[in-house]
Amino acid sequence: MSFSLHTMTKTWVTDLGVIKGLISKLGNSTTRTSFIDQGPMFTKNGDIIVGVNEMAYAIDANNGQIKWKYEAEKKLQALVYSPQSNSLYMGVKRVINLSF
Amino acid sequence: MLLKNQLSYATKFIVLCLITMTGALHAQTQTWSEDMTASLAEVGWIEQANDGIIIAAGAKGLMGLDNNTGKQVWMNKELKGVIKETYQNIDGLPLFYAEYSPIVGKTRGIIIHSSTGDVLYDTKDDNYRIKTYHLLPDQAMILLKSQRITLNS
Repeated sequence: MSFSLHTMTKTWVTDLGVIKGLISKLGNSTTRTSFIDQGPMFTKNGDIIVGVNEMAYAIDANNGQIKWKYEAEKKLQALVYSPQSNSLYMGVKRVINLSF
Repeated sequence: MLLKNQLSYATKFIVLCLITMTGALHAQTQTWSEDMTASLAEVGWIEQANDGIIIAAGAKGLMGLDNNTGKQVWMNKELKGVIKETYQNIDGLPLFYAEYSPIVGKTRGIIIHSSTGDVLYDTKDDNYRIKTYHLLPDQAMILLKSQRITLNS
């Protein structure tokens, strides 16, 4: 969800799927746990990159639309964006390189 | 002679302690006190927002107080029994997030402007619960990680 500091209103909400398992039952605001494993980080053109479980998402920061998503074989252990190469590096069991 | 000297040192030490304690006691002055029996019934908890406003929660609602004078700045009678553990200031901004459970309906999360008491966002319509947030000043944006409240959660 994005909240604008200009207008002090909610601007958009993007659905990133269902949380499975115990986290969905035990997790609440008092635990302060986050289901987003990686990010958020910003690309050169302002898109938001986040990693949730085995999924990587690129979200348009203006309207919250998912521009693209990538499913890795297993849960993302690391996610790094390089502005020099405009690429995203993912660590699973092997390194995956996504170029935009 | 040695014993006399030791007693003298001990006496001086006690006097010094008494002077220090007296000075400390004199330094503690009450600046304000407010009776909230009528407004909040009983104060459940208090926190301080980033702009200095004291947030007091009670059975009759949620209140913002001027931290210098103790005078009421705002009062919201709808927000009864706000849950202390859910309170979180949003870094560097006069905003805070908290949750409360209305008598009728589901738990709701709210973002409040601590200076005015205005409810800027209420999860009542969207049925979300805010987990954490990322403040992005360059984008003038707060990214809120939220979870939709379902029957199982």
